[in-house]
Amino acid sequence: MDQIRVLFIDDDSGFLNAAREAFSRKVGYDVIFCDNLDTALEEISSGSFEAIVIDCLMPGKSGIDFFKEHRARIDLKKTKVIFISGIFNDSVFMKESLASTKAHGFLIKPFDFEELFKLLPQPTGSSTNTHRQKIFNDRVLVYQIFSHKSRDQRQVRKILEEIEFVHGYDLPFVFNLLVEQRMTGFLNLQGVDNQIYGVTFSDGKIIGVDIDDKKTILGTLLLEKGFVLPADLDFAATGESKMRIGDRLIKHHLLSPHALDIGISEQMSLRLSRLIIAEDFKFNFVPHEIPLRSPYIDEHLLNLYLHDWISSKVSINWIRAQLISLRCSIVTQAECCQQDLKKIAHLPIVRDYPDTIQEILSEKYVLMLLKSYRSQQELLLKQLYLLLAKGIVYLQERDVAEFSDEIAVLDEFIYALKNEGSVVAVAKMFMDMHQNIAIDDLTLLVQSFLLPYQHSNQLELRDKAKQAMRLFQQLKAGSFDVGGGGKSSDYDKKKAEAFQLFEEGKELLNRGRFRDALSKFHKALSFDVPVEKLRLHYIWAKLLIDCTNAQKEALIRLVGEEMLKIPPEDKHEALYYLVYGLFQKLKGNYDQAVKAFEKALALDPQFIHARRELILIQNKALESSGRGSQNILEADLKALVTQLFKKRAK
Amino acid sequence: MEQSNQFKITQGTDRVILEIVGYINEDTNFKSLQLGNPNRLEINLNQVRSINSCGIREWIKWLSQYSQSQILLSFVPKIIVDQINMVQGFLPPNGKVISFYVPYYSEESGEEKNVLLTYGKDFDEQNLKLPTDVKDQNGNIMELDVIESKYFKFLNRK
Repeated sequence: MDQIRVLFIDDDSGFLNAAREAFSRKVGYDVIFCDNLDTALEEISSGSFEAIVIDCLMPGKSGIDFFKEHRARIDLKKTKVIFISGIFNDSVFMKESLASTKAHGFLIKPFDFEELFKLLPQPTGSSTNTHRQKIFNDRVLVYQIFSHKSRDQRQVRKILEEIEFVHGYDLPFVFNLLVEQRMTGFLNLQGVDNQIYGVTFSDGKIIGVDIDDKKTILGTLLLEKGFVLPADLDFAATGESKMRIGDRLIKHHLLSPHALDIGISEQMSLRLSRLIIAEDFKFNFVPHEIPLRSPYIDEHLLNLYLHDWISSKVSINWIRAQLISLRCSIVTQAECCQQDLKKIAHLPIVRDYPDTIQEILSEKYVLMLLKSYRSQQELLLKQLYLLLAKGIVYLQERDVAEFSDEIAVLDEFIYALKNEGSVVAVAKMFMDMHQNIAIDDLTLLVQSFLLPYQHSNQLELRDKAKQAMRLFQQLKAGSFDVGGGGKSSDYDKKKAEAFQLFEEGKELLNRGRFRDALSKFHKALSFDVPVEKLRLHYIWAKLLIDCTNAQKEALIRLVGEEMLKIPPEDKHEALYYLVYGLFQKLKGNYDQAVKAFEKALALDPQFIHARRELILIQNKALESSGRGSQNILEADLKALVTQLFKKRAK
Repeated sequence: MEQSNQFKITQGTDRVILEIVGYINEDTNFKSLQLGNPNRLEINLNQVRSINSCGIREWIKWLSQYSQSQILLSFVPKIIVDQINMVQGFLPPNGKVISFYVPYYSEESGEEKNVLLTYGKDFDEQNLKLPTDVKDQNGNIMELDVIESKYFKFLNRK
């Protein structure tokens, strides 16, 4: 893609910064900013530009006179010239200036930069970039959904109509908005695969989720809750009745209607969770009167799900990318901030870390917030994202970035380049990348991000930008070597690598090499890509490693934090209940542990690990009651075999 | 349970006109329609009140049977225009919108009005002529109530 070269001349440093900020978000422009006419003349003499934007009131000479003097150097067929002014705003003067110079436009300051972009030549050769820009603009709108102080239902519809694309990770914002405003109607979505999805709302409650989901089986959920037995399900599944399985179970008095409601509600929540993915959706909302029916997901339940999704599903790098691209916004308290905060005060990432919550509420620039909490950035990002999705805070954009902020932006970029180890991860962080973007595109975008700094008149900024670009190029070269081709998608590659490590880890786990397995799982998790059941295995391996009593407290804390990161979809597996049971056992909650192991066995009667744990606890109970293990078949076989080998070794 | 929809069929010499009344959803029984193989199938959507994701899927599946017919959509309400713009295949390649509604809004009175635009008169493949003198009951000028770049996108589809 060819970049549009623009020369932007203005002596007002504040306005120049605002322009720099606006261009930094635009793809396809290579802009040189000048605050004096001498430098501008040097630039015009040494290169060609497709557009020149010039302030009318420059020191010593008007921009119009400057242009007239040097018109011979500027080919108006190839270069668009646009005058800007905050002083010369008389319409007659504007008309005369345009007529006498044949310039292409005149804008009165302050103006919306979108107006300027409309006058500038449009970058060609990449409709992807226009698409990406549209996605970015839509994302900004999503993050400002809650900035509108008073919202009636019509306004909410209008806000949503403005947005064409919503990222799966941003769907919590949309769900919450519709619930909070007690909307009724259909949210229709189309994914990148052209699949159609739908969520039905009635009076601010979610009453239906329509996705192509072959994994969330109602029968399994009912079994897991202990509402039915496997035999009941087998019985209900036979016969040719067109009735749904739940209704058939009720008809045969095998299930209560209330229990069915719980199962369906659980199924809806899992289906919603399957929409929280790293993809863009198109969507629209069709208002329509729909009577409220049970079961439903209300605001209280949705708050729990928002917490779970943000804790376990939304990629931390992705949140960082969004927030850094909005780095110069101020985190602002919404009108009902304190009142709404109470509604989520019980959620673990809010309840357990009040200090960072207070910090978020202290109305700072996003970037300053991230910088001051670098050591706890993951926690801070998740908290901030939750508060944003709940509308407790919103991001208030500032037109003019503080100068020190720009230094901080580059510092963060350099920090990330040095620490993230993946050029794409870093570029995504800063350039708001679509997940599967090609590396060549990334390079262009990173260049457009760094260019304004590279051309800055300020030495420190220029040096840092050059340092960042050098690091980026080095890392990029590394990425190419590993990938064996410049066009390969880093995201897909990472996913494949993470999956491979996961498989190797499972193999090691089966062979009893827990520490090696843990190390594989840990590495796989570091890729920050979704791999089904990976986190579960990681925690399992962690719990299998023997720990001394001294480490026990730390392990409980750590595993507790990790449990929050298990995606809701993985919480309906026999393995989840095994892991949960082991965690309870570690904490000394044997009753809870037994229940969990029993649930694991209900879901998978052949699950040997759960059976073993259950027997171990039973034996322990027998031992403590003085009866001991009576039957070799009930004893822990693994422990027996280990003992046998130990004796042989002696 | 949603109220099911109704179909009204009018057989013409060279076309079949199908009027859909009510909702397009999982209960819409397109399969029950016996329309033959018309040269032209005109679908009047004036009375369609809502459409959900299941309805969108049913619609696409059903219309794919008429790939040899010319499909004309008339009196298309906003909720259907939104689906045409969003869902690839909602308006099939052999389909064309011959009239659709454009919402207007009055800031003064809060009144909403839908204005019908007709192919050949108000729009065609190249042009779109939006009325500028839409007024509410009090005579106030009403504003276009949609995002132009988004709402009229379907007109540029080839």
